[in-house]
Order: sequence, then structure tokens, then C-alpha cells
Amino acid sequence: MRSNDLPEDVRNLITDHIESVEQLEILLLLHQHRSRVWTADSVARELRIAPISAGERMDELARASILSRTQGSPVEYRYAPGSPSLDAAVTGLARAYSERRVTVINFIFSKPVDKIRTFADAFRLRRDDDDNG
Amino acid sequence: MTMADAVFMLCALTSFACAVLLLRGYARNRVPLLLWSSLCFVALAVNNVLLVVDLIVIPGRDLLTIRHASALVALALLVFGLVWDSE
Amino acid sequence: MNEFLSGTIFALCCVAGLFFVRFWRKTRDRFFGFFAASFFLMALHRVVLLGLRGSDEHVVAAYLIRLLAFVLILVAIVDKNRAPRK
Repeated sequence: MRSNDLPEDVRNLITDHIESVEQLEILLLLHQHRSRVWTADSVARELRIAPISAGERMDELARASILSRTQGSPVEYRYAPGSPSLDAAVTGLARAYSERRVTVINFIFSKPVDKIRTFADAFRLRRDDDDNG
Repeated sequence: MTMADAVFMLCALTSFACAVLLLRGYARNRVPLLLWSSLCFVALAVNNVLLVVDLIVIPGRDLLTIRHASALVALALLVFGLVWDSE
Repeated sequence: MNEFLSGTIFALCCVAGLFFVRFWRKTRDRFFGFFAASFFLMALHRVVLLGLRGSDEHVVAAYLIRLLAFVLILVAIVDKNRAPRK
């Protein structure tokens, strides 16, 4: 199965915003229950992952204008894409993941270290979504 | 300091800021392109500083060749990095 | 010698500009568009300097081009840090 089979907007969505399968599953969970408000703890319980990790992934998605984040204790998130095309891409991603799970996972892990993007990213002053170490 | 000096110092500071940001990026990612381009901006900063110096020391047209050399080094480093390591 | 150096710098600025245009097309990130414009302006700066040959009155215009080139880089950085992540 080749990743070229995936629709272009889905591929762009993954390239731009999806770093891990965990993040993908969190996004699809909130997309599936789009009217519901979630917290890091409720997501962690649902997906059986660590709450801190869930919170960080959702913060990243909120910065990408895919989720909305409401400050408070606890912090609340819900699915709130910034544009209709983004919504369509996430819907496409949900469909692709249900039909071609392996293809999607392979695509996430085969993202090359994009040198050009790292050039542009170097100029981001706020480096609070650091990956690796 | 005249207006022109202030302008060129701004250019020098901008170059230097770019160099710092790119070096920080290289420290995190080890992508060689970032190293070459940061060195480019260091040399561009030097070039702008030399320009200010040249304007102050008025009869010193001697600096022209060094200024050109610094700009040449800057661009050569950048283009080398772009050609060698941008994909 | 100086003109040769200046000409080489001009050519290299154009090449760098072209690379940034390619990155702009590939990533659809206008950050690279600003950088491309900046380096093309640096190239233009070299051409204008060549036409000056020491006459002072147009030196200001020439160096305004250089200033604009660096201002564009600043704009690129500010724009990247203000716009939501694409």
C-alpha cells in the first residue's frame, strides 16, 4: 500500500500537524465526539494513555487551530477546526485511518526530516513544542 | 551616529539575529543547511559592520575589497549549503 | 577585481533567491517568499551600486534597497511568529 493512495489534504494534514499515532488517535477521538468537551484526564482514561502526554498532544493540536483550548482547572478541549477545509481533511483522515490503517501509520513514521521546514522552524521564537532531545 | 550608520547597524543586528536563530536551530536538529546559513548571516553582519566602519573612516576606500570579500563569503556559504543540503 | 567580486555576489544572491522561490512553492509558506524577495533585492543592490561609480547622490537610494532587503527578513520573522501554525 503506497502513501500516494492517501488524499492530498490528508497527507498535508499529517505532514503539518501529526507527529505520532497517539496524537492521531486523540484527534480522531475528539473528532468523533465533536460536541463533547474533553479534558486531559478524560482522554487519558478513554485511550489508556498518560494524562500529561494527552494534555501536551492536545495543546499542540490547539496551537494548530484544530482544537479549541479553554483555560481553567481542568483545561478543556474540544474539536474546533479553524477552517472547513481543515475539517474536511480531518474527516478524510478518519476515513483513511479506518480503511487503511497501516498506510496512515506508515506515512506518519516515514515523514522525512524536512530540512527546508527546519530552516523556517528555526525562526520560531517560541520553542515550546520541542520534539526529541 | 548618522542616520546611515543607524540603518546599517540595524542591518547588522538583523543579520546577527538570523545567525543566532539558525545556530540555535542547528543545535537542536543538526541539519547542515542551518549551519551554513547561520555562518552566512554572521558574515553578512560583519559586512554591514564593515560598511559602518568604512563610512566613518572616510578616506579608507581600502575596506571595499574586504567588504566585498565578506559578502562573497556569506553568499558562497549560503549557496553551498542550499545546493549541497536542501533536500 | 572589485567589480568581479560584486558581479559574483550578484549572481550568488540570485541563486539563493531562486532556491527560496522553490522552497516557497514547495511549502506554500510565505516565509520563504519574503526571503526570496530579500535576496533578489540584495542582488538588485549590487546592480545599482555598479551604476553609481562614486556619485554620491544616488548612494542613498542604493542603500535603501539594502535596508529594504533586511527589513523584509524582519517582516518574515515577525510574520512567522504571529500567524497561526499552518
